[in-house]
Amino acid sequence: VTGPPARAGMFHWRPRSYLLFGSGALLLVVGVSLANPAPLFLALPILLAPVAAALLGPRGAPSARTEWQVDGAGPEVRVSGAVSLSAPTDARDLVVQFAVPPGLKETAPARVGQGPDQVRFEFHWEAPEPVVVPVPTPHLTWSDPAGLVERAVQFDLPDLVVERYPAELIHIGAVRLERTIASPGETRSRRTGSSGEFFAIRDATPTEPPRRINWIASARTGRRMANEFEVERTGDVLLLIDARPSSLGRRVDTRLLSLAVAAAHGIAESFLREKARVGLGVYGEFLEAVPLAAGRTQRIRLRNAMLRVRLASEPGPPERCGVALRRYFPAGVTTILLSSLAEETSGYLVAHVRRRGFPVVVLSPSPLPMLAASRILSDEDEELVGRIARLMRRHRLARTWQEAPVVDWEEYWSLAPLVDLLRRPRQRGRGV
Amino acid sequence: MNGSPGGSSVRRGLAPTTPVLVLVTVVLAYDSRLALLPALLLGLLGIVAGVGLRAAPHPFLRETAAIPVIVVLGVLAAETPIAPISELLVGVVGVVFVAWLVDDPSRPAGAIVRGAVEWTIPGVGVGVAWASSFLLPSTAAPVGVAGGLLAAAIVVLAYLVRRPELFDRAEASTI
Repeated sequence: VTGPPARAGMFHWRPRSYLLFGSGALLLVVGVSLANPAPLFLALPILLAPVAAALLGPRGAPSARTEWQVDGAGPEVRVSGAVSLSAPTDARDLVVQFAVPPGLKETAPARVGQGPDQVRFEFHWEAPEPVVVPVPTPHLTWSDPAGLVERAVQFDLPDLVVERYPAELIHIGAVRLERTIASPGETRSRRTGSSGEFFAIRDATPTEPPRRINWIASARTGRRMANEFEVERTGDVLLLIDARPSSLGRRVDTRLLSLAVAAAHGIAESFLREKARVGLGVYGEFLEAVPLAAGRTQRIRLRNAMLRVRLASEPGPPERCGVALRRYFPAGVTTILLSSLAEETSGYLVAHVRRRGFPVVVLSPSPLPMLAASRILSDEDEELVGRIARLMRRHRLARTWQEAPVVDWEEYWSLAPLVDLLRRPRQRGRGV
Repeated sequence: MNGSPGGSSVRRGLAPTTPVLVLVTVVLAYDSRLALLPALLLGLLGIVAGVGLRAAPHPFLRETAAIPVIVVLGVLAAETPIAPISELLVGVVGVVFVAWLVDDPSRPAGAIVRGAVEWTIPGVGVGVAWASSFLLPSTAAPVGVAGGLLAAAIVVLAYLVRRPELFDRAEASTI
C-alpha cells in the first residue's frame, strides 16, 4: 500500500480555518459599521492565525516510515505498528485514523502513543467468526496543533491481512488427493511417509511395521532402523465458492460467504504448504476461476482472488457453473464446494458439477446460528421457527447427500468433520 | 477510530489556557458597556459551551467548539468602549482565543509550545496594530483607514484560500 504521492494541492485548509476567516470578515464588517475599532482588534488575530498555521508546518508532503503487523491467535486479533517521521516534522502533529475492518469487532480502545518522532499504535479486535479480511490502510495527515491546516503524508505500507480460520485446517493438507496430471511425483513434497521415493534411514519406532525395517542397516548398527520415504504429492484440489444470493437476505448471505472464503483460504494454505496444486472457482452470476497451480505465487494469486470475492447481485444457473468449470479444470479434480445450500438450486449445482466429472465434497456453512442470534419473536415462536428451520435444513442436506457427501458447518470455529471426511477416500471419492 | 488519546470528557475539554481565556473574557465583560451580570453570564456561557463541545465524542461537534466562543467574544468586543486600553484588551483576548485553539487537549501535550508560531504572529500583529492606533487619535478617519487595510487583507486571504498550493514547495528534480 502506498500513501498519496507528492503533488501540488497536498495542502488543505481545514473547516476550522474557513470558520476563522468567516468570523474575522464578519467582525470587520461589524467594526466598520459600528465605527468601533475593538472588533477589528479581535478580527486581526483570528484572521492571522490560519496564515501562521500554514507557515508553521512542513513545506511539502512529509514522508513517513511505517511498519505494522498482525498478531494473536483464534478469535483474538492484535494489530500493532509504528509511524516514524524525520525532523523537523513533529510526529505529535500526525493524525492517524484507522477503521475497524468489516467482520471484526473492537474489544478494547485503541492505544496510541505519540512521541516527537514516532507514533506507536496497537489495536485489539476480535473475529467472532472465521474471516479473511484486509486491514484498511490508515489515513495519515499532518495537522497543525490548532487543527487549521493539514497535509497528506507519504508512506509505504505492506499489505496486512487478518486470516482467521479453524485450526483443524492446518493439517488438512496431509490428506491424499486424487492425481490428475500425467506424471505423478514431479512435484516433490516436504513430507515423509510410508511410500514414494526413498528419503533416509532413521531409528525405528517400537510399532514400526516389519516391511519398513531396513534389516541390513539394523544389522550394521546393532539397533532397528527403518526406511523413510518422500511422499509424492501431485494431488489437485479445486475450491468452488458459491457466491450466489439466496432468500436469506444480503446481510446473512454476506456473512456466510465470508465464512466460506475463510474456510477456502485455510484449506488452500494447507494444501499449498504440502505442494499440492490448488485451484479456485467463484460462482456468482458467472464463474471466475484461478487455474490449478502450486507454490508461493499461487498462494498470493488465490489470496487476492479471495479478497475480491463479493456476493453476486444475480444468481447464475447451475448448469453454467458445471460447463464453465470444464474450461478451466480437468475432470477428476477433488472439488470442495463451499455453499450455504440455502436455496433449492444449490443442490442442483452439486449435481451439475458432479455430472461434469468433478468428485464433490460439500462444505456448507449453516445459517442457523446466525438466524438464532437475531431474535425478533417471542421465545415460543422463536423455538418453533428454529425447529422448522432445522428440519428444512436437514431435509435439504439429506437431498444433497444423494449427490455428494456434505459437511454441515454449524460450529464455525471447528472443521474437524471436514478433515475426517477427506481422510476417508471411500467416502470422498464417490464416483462421478 | 483515530489517534486521539483517551481520558474523561471533562479532561478532554479543558486545557491549561482555558483559565486564561476565562480570565480575559471576564475582564472584557467587565470593561464592556453591557450590564456586568449579563455580560459575565454571556462570556462564561460561551466558554462553557466551547469547552463542552471540545469534549464531545463526535468529531463534527469538536470542530464547532470555536463557534460559541467567537460569537460571545464578538458581542463583547462590539460593546467595548473606544479607548486604547480597551482595544488592547480586545486584541489580547483574540490572541488568547487563538492560543486556546492551539492548546487542544485532544492532541498530544505540548501543543502550545509546538504551535507557538500560530499565536505569536497574531500577537505581534495585534501589538503593531494597537501601537499604531495608540499613536493616532481614535477618530473616525483612522477607523476607516484600518477598515480599508483589513479589507485588503481579506482580499489577500481570499487569494491564499483559493491557491493553497502556494504553501507547497516543489521537490527539486535534480540534485
